[in-house]
Amino acid sequence: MLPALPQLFAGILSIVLNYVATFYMPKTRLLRDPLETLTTAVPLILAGHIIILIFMLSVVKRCSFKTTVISIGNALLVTALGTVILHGFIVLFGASLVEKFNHTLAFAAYLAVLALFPTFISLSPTDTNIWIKCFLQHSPSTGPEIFAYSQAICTLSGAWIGAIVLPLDWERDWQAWPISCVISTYLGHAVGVFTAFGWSSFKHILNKRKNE
Amino acid sequence: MSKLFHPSHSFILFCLTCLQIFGLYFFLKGFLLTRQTLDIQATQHDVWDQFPLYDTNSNSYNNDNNNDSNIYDKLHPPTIPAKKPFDRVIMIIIDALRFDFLTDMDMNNNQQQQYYLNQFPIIEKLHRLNPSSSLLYQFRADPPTTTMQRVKGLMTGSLPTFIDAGANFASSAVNEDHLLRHIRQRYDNIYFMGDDTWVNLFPEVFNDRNKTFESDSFKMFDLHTVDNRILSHLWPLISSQEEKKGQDQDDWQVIIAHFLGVDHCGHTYGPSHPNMANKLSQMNDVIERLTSVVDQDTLLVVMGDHGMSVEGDHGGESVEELMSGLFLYSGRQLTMKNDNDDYNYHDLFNRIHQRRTEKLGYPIQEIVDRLSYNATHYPIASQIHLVPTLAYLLDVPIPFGNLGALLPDVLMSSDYDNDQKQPQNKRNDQILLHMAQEFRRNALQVYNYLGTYWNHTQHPGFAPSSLDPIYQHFWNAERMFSNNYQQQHHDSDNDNDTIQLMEQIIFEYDTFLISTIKYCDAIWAQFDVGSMVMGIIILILTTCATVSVAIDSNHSSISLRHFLTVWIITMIITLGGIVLFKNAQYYDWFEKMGWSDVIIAANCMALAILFLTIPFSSSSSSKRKLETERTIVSVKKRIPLDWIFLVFGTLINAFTLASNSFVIWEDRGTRYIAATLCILWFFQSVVTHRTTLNLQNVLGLMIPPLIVLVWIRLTGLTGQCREEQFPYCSYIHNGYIKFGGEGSHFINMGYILFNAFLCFYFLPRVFYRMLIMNNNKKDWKAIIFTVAYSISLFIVFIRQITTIYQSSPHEDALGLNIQQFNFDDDIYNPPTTIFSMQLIFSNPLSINIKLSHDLYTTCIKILDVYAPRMVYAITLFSTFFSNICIFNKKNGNSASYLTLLLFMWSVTLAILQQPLGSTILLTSPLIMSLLIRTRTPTKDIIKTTTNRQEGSHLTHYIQIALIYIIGHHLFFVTSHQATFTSLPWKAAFIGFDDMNYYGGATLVALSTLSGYIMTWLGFLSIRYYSSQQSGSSIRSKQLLQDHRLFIYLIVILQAIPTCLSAIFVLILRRHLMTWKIFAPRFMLQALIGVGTSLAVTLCEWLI
Repeated sequence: MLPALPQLFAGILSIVLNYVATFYMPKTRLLRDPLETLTTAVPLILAGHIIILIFMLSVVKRCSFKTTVISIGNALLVTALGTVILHGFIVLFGASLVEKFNHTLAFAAYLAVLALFPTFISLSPTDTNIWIKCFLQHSPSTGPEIFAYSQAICTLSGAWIGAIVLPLDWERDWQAWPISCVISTYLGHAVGVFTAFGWSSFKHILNKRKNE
Repeated sequence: MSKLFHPSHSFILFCLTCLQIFGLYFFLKGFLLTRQTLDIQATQHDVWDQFPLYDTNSNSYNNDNNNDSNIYDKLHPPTIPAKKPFDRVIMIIIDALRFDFLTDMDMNNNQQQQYYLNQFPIIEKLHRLNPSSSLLYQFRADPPTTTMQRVKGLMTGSLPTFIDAGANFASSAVNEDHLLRHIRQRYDNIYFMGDDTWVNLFPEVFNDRNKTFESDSFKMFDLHTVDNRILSHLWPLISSQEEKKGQDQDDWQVIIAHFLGVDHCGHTYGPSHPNMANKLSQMNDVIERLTSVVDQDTLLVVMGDHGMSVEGDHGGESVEELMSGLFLYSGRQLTMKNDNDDYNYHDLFNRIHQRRTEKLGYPIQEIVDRLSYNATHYPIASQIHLVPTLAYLLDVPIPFGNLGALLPDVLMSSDYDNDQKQPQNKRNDQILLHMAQEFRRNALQVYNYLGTYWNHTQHPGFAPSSLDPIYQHFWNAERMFSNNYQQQHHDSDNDNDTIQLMEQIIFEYDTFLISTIKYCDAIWAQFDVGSMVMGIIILILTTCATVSVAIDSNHSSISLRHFLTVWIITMIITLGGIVLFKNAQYYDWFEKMGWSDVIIAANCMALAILFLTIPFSSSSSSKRKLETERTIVSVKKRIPLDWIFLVFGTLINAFTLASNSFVIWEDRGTRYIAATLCILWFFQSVVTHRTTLNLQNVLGLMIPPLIVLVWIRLTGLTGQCREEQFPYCSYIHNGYIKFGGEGSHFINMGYILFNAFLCFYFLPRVFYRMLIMNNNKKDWKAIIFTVAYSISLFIVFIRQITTIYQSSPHEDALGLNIQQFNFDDDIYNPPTTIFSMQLIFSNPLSINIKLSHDLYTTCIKILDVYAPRMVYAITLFSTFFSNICIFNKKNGNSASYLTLLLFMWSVTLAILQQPLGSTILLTSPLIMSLLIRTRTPTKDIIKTTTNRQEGSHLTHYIQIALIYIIGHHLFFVTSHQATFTSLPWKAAFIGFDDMNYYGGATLVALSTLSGYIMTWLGFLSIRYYSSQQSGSSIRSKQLLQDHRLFIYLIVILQAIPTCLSAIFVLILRRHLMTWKIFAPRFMLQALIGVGTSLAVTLCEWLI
């Protein structure tokens, strides 16, 4: 039996959800109208993630109603705060503050939902210490922790990598801000899920060996 | 036992620096195509000038004849005048006009539809109808096939090089003799339309705004704007001429029109596209209409500056890019008719062309294969041949530096068509004599040029001894000429061999000309790939050796045996390899390297390999000795992960130097990397934090990275745009900041107030605090230095205000109307300075200007000359003082002297910048100090667990990388770019009245490298702290290794990009953008690479 199976399923589910919500469901295409697409996609993804979170908390982890509500509240709060902070950091990394402000904000929201929400799906409800251990000391140990950590880090790295194509003079549609970053964020998240799966299985097998 | 040599770090660093310098030297030797431009204007001289001119030491000419020759020295054959020069010239340059666009081609069904074929019927039509008044050539360009280089070549007749080292390096203007200059002297009304490259190259010719209609050549996707603009000016001009026909005054004499549509279409759609057909047939119509105005006295020249590759681009040296077309047409006869003479001139011309093609090795078969027209049907003319040909047709002197040879077809003596009465053979003699005489004029010009070039440059390739085989042809021709003439003089019998002899003479002159082209091409336009590869190998080995020395945990010694083995083996292999290559004549490798160079290169290789093998060299005895130690400290001696990460990160980042886009947008890329490093820094400082984490702690740790991040982002708002960055570049530049602009009042005042706050309160205060370093007692030295620092700041502030004022419109912010003072601009040369002085120092209403002329000039003098000098003096003094203090180590707080150094230099560097840049530079020491000081105190960690200890280096290395990146960032935000045009020439005059060559060069270099100088000073400080720690606390192996990794990391961070940049320049040496993007970037990289190595060596030696 592999560890953190629910997290894996949740992760795969969110990959599918992200794909459908970003590239399939909105009537506009990401390449043509990134802003409209994102403003449709972000609420969809958020709603989907909330459902997954509720499912995880109430069905898988069997938490009380109160804990569930508090966790969802926390998740939403952190995502909202994260959007603002990430927007700030995106600007600090070189995006224009004034020009395409809405694009940047939409991308920040997209990034926040993709990077932060899965951590709540994997981890909550837990103690603050676990969060600190995971994200400040960078030493996740259990399966859920690995899933939370890996998804967040890979999504953020994905967003980071997406900026690399911006200066190239290939004159492609997807080089416009923030399309490449949105796509790479999505890919980063997907990679994060599978990395987490590999990592936690590896760790699981290693532990097993040790125990034997 | 072999002797052991234990090199110190400074010695190794010194060697590595030398290796890097030599590597770059060999690379540049192979890469830089240098040619000295001689700005000497040719004059029209007599055809028989210096006749006969041959080597008097030659064996064939002995003493007996010497007396004879003196008699005939002043005698020469009669001068046969040429036909009347043309009154009007229309030069049409169609960018990227490949030759097969011009000719009749049979549409081959097998080929896919080729829209570019047969769209230019007018050329063939004219050629068929008037064979003697039209000439069509395959026009071969010299690579690189970029428009700028080609236009230069077309007008100067010289071969392209990267650095045409001349008087004026800053502007792109041609600074040697060129055809247009002579045309200008003869023809007053020169009109120009089209590509603005011409205007940039020849600004003194196209200085009449009413006759010059240049267009921007950058908008690639626009096919029609430039061409339509040309036509809108061209047709009125032509038709006005037609109306005025018969009147005396001419409206135009020379028209030059450079069409860009075909080239743009090629770039955008490729040659095989319907748009190309449209474009070409439009050009066809233009030419057709122009031929209607071409009369007896008008010459029409249609040419392409280069060809077009299969994809529609150009810049390289493929056959498609090189073969362009040249078409000459006139109302009168241009070449001799092939009538029923007993002598066939066309046969002679063909033979000349044939010989030229063979001699220069034009690949006829390849042209036929790839462009599928009959290349043997049309003569091939090198582009530079146009220069002497046009000079002949327009009767102007051939430009001094020309290397081209006359196209023989156009040579016609004046009596060719009107003097039919003469006997046939007499007439032939006259014509051939005329041809020979014109060839002699051309050859003499080239001969003089070669001699002058040798006198000016002493380039060994141009020594008379090296050129002797080429000169021999010229001398032969001269000798034959003079002998023949003497004979004719003696017995007036007309020799039947005269024709033969004349041919021979012409061929000798021609051989001389063509050999010269071939020879110069090899010297000037050929990269020495061997030398470049040699340089790259040395650079790579040096970089590897640096890494190897850095990770060598034992700090090994070098044994004599090892030393000798490595040295001898490498020497033998290298020397053998080079000799082999040299003898094999493999693609002319190593031809620029002399034997001394080869020996130096071999030694460099040996030294690099020696260092590379250091970790494996320690002799067995020392190994055994170390064995025991190693087991103990093996855990600690691991190389920190982030060190490896940084080296690999640098490697990956250096790969962006292969992409022109990344180089163009490097300013933003640098900021991106800096921001990433800030985030990493924050993460690392959190991870390595000792005490338990809580929110407050984390926020506290977040502040320094955040400050740096925000500082980088804010300063990143300013900078200078590269021309390639438009229109996506909107930096706040110094031009925005001025007095009296509309609406910008508020921001400007805010900026100045901020500056004032910074200069008069904040910086001195911080400086004093840092100097006394928490000592509460008053330190008189600190006070003196703070006063000196404040004075410097004041000077910088005043200069900022002055600069802003000077760039402002003349109505100033305080409502002063300058006009009312009635200044005489002729007397006060820079009046704006005077006003700014007045603005700052005085109440404008009460001052009496007439009385205080002297005062003002004194003020200007003080501000422009003495004040900057004072800053320099203060900085130099503090540098000496702090160096002495650091060197003596007499008191513990040497750290304060490093602060002194950092702050003082920032002021000197700031005074060399534009206002915005100087403000940023003034704040940079604060950021540097923040980075240097907020390292996690290693001392405490050592004593705790090993786990923690590893973390302690993490922060430290990332900060070094960050300091390095910030140096780069400062380079960009202080309005510099890696281009030659952005060199800050103005800085040369800060503190100097007139141009002082070395002083000026130093100031320009300082201004360019300001950011990096701050970085190097930052390294010095970090290095000092690091040494202090290892000196004061436990001298553990770990700390020593840490220290070593740290110093070599700095070198590696620069060595990797230098080395990769060199490789990319080698690979992309024929790339379209090489000279605009990659080469300047490489030069900058080489400069900062060597600078950093030197700085680190100096640091290591100092401390």
